[in-house]
Amino acid sequence: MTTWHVDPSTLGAWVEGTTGPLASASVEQHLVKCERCRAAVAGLVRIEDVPGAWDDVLAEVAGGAGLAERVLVRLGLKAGDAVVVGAAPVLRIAWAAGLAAVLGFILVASIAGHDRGLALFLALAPLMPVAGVAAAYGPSADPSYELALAAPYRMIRLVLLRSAAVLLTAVPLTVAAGLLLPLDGATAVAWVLPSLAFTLVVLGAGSWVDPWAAAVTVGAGWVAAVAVSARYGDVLAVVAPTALVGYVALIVAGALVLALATPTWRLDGQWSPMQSERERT
Amino acid sequence: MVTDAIRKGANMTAPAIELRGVSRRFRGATALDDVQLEVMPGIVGLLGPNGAGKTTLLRILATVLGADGGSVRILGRDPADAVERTEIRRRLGYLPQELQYPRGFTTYRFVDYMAVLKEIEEPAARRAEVRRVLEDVDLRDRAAKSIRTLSGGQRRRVGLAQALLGSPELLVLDEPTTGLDPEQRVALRTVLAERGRASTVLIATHQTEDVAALCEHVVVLDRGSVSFQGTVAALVREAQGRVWLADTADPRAQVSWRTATGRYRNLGEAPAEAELVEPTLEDAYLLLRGATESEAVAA
Ligand SMILES: Nc1ncnc2c1ncn2[C@@H]1O[C@H](COP(=O)(O)OP(=O)(O)OP(=O)(O)O)[C@@H](O)[C@H]1O
Ligand SMILES: [Mg+2]
Ligand SMILES: [Zn+2]
Repeated sequence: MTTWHVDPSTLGAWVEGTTGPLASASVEQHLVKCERCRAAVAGLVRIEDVPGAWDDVLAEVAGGAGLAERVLVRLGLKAGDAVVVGAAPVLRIAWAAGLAAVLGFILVASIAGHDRGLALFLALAPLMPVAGVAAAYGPSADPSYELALAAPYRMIRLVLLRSAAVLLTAVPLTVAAGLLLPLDGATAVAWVLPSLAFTLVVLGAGSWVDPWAAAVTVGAGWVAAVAVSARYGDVLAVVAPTALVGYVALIVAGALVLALATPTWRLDGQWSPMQSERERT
Repeated sequence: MVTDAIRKGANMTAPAIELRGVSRRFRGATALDDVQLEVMPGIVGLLGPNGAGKTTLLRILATVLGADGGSVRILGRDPADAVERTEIRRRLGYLPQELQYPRGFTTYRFVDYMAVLKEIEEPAARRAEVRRVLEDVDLRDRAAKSIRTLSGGQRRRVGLAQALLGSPELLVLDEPTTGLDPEQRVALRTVLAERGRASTVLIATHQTEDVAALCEHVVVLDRGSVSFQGTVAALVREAQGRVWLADTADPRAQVSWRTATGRYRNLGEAPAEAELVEPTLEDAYLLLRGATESEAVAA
């Protein structure tokens, strides 16, 4: 079914371990499907020095490890941690594609009318990473959440790893979209501060409430603030220097709460009655 | 298996689970009320009608739910303490009553993910362990299939497979045999019996045959309290001399039903011209239920 094959020099480089992360991942994906290239690899010396190396690649693919996961491993993340990140519910839907679609919509809307478009961008851009983080773990996002809870892997580690993965995809994409808008450069990136602040609020509140509840509350507040400032003054007020100081304060506070609450993180044990009641419904 | 237990420090003479006055409420509804329970290593069946509190109890034992009151000790540790809770989780295998799988996972990948969460880090060791548990539940040939495409019983076995990862010292299984065909049920008994020699296996079920076939001890929950705790043999003994086969349903019987032979099985008082038969665990359970019901009516 595959008509192209990996050229011998790339195969050689892969065996030597000198291909980059993306190239390695695509070579591996091809190898599993292609007997001819496997035979070619078997002819190269190094693979025989590594007993079980084959098994590794095959198991990864039987396990359906996604491209992102292999890239993470190649970038130096521990294999186990990459599995945990790759299992994030939000990353298993077409996260990047969905993000791109929303951003495309904002771009079109803002071309239609500058002021409205700007307000729309400011209202939605900071919430993308927040929504992604909220959809990365927790009882409403993850159907097997209870199993993850009962396991010894630290929940806070799971949450932070997945959040980092979400931020690393959402923030650059959204920044890129912002730069395409007719905005000055500062505004195009200023939203990152409230976005980080809200993300930390959701994570910090994770000790007490489901991430979705926190994200929806924060999101509603933000959209209202943007709407009010657009209606009664300058929409840019939400990213004015004084406001930015406030976001930085929120980031610090959120990080502090998260750090202090980590040892007894409530979602890690569901000791809060509220938490355990709502998940049954 | 025995060496396994020693390496992991399983203590076969101390109670694996000790509950004192444990209660749990949900918005006013009491799911558990002053539960006293001591469970020794081995296989223990947990019986009780719908809504008795079995799942609530097992979730507390699986450290995913906190108790409102009373003291809980699991494998000698306190689940309310974060550090001890992690220690319990390192020795725990858990199958929830309702388990849904994240979208897009193959069988192998889901079990592999669970193995990571259970701190089986080294890839080769993890692969070997995932294969082992998939073989235990007879799903090795489904490893590369998407979980969505499996049958209900096969999906249930995926859940069982992850519970068996790492040969846990405490296995908490909430209705494990639901949806399994007879062959798979028997196969599962073999696996669990093996586990029960070196660890504690707690099984909530409505299948009295499974308890009779597997468990030495049984706990019966009723409206949030323990109404029986002891050996299966002792529970069956309580029904001795109270199970009758007759041609009619006796109105004084606590329970009676028509059997396949056309005769009626009556539990309780002896009907006229009845034949006394050996009680099963199911008879004993139904009699116990009848007794606690009438007590509740009297009270
Ligand atoms: N998360 C929850 N929120 C609200 N009520 C709950 C919750 N979990 C259990 N309950 C209530 O607690 C009681 C005991 O429920 P539980 O699920 O423990 O029973 P069970 O013995 O497992 O029943 P079944 O045999 O049907 O599985 C029920 O009345 C149920 O409605
Ligand atoms: Mg139940
Ligand atoms: Zn090829």
